[in-house]
Amino acid sequence: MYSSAEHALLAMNLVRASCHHLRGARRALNESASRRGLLMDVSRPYPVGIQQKKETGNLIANGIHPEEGCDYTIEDSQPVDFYYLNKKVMGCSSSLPDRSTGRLGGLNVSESGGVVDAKNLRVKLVLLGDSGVGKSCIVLRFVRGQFDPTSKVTIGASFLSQTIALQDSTTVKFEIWDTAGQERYAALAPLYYRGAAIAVIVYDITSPETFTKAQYWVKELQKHGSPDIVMALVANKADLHEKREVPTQDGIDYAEKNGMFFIETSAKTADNINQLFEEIGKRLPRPSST
Amino acid sequence: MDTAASHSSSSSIMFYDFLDKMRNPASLNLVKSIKSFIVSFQFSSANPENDSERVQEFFSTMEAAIMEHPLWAGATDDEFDCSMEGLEKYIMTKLFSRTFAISPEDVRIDQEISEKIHLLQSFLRPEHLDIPPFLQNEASWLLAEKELQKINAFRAPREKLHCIMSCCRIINNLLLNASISENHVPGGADDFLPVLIYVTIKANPPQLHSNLKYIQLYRRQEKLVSESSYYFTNLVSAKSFIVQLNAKSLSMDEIEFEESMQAAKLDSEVSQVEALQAQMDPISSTRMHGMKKSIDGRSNYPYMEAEPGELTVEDVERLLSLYKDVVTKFSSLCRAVRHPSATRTKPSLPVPKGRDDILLQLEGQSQIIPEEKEEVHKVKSFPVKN
Repeated sequence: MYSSAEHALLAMNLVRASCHHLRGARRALNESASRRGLLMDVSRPYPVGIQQKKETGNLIANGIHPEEGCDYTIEDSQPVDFYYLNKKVMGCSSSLPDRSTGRLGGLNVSESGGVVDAKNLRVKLVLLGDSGVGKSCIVLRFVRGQFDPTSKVTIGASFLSQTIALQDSTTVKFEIWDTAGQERYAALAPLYYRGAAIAVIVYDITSPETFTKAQYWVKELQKHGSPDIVMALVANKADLHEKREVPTQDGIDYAEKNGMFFIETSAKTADNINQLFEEIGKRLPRPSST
Repeated sequence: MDTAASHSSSSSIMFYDFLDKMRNPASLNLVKSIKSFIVSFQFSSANPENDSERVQEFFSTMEAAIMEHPLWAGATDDEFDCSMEGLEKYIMTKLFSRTFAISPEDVRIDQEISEKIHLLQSFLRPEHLDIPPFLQNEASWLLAEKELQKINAFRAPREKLHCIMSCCRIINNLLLNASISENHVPGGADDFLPVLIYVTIKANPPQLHSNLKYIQLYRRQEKLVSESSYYFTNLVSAKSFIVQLNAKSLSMDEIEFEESMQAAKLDSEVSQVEALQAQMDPISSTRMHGMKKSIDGRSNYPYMEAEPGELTVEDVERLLSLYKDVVTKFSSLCRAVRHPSATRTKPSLPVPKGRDDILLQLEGQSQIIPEEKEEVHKVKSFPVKN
């Protein structure tokens, strides 16, 4: 009888051997994709997929089984699309930033959720606002608009991160958490804004209801958000000025009254998008100057 | 195939490396502290908050110890990280039964959620969550559901979390493909969360509450950050939405919602009784089907004329099963009276049912595999071993 650990070890030996030849193919795939600067075209690398399926069969046959605290493998096919690159980026194999923060004894994981190292800030930013006001468009414009070769690739459009450099040579890495704006999910928002250093509240200048909703979020954050949260009020769709229903002055007044930063943007024309994030970066509380 | 296979192969290797290092005589002191931690932990009484703190603290202590250990001198960040993942997996696998779903409260919540989802499954449609038609893709959803359903196949928090990430990744691919092919502006979380909630309901992942709590408490803290943390939070919020779900949460007529819930409840009670009965007494359940056709029910209930004094202990079993027959009939009748339509189209939708069949088949297959595995394993392990 093998003990479960030995059992697992023997099996893993096999996996290791059988994975070896796969790695070459995968690397080639990754390289070709990154050369093109694209993720999308990694779609369905059939040869690898088929091979992998075979390996999977072996894995199970060779006794890797959940009961033994080892891995369980599943034989389905899945869309590969983004997978390899993301895996590479997200997996432990190259999660350098996380790693280094961990290694430095956790640095200061401040109350507001940012990992702080005097010159490199990492901050959590939460996006609030009614559905359809263009929250995710603003972020996509920001993230895609300026190419950042160091930014990690994310798996979807609802979480994105982007690093910017400020004039004082600090870098700020925004980790942007989108929230579902539909009314029925409003009660879930605290799960998302907990620990956020920044809240960006978005409304649509063509829709007074969204402005009302934005004010609701401001009040909610004042009551339940972290007390030192930086809030920005963003009036989006500024390109649609002929349909405007919320005057700029209303936004300015409301923001001023609540000590917020206000800006009008257009995700469509990219107007003021970078300015929004730069301004936020400047307003972030810096770790006590050393 | 890809997510699962590449993930498990990389993590197998990482775990292998970790065990390999632990076998090295040089790491004896580390092994000793790991073992003594596990033993002392197993003997202490359970207290989730405190337990999590102890485990996390131990991870940090070990992290520091490993960092300074000669065996890791010159190790790259990756290697170091893999060792920490291996450590998490080793410890949490050993402590699993001591840390996972230990309080009766958790067990109760798991069961309540699972039951509620079961009811919702019978009538909830994507339209009720306003999921637009171009995001309705059964094939993608099924894949995402299966990722979530795998969550109990793993004990290590990292791997459980990975199931959630894979599920979210599949949904994100669907959203992306839809936005490209439909030329639709990517909707971000507005599109993502409803689909995740729907997929969670369709999947009814086992012990959802306990799994989330376990990941939260025992995944290495510096790893439950940024993207992982975001998608984890999404599933937490999906769970919370489901728990709080009422008629107002859906795009559905309130009366229709209440009626559907009632119908689903009755139906699930009936099927529970039937299942129980079939389990206990296969003969009586077949007899019951016969009885349904017979008009004169009296002859099927031999105790109708009996007096309490005449009954013996041996009669109890039979009485109980007859009692259940009556209850079953009564509740079916109730259902038929209240919902004439519900009896014609059984509330369990054809889609999930067909799927269940497929899943059952799959399960059937996987039950065969362990039997074969033993032999293949022995044959195949020789060349590697030598």
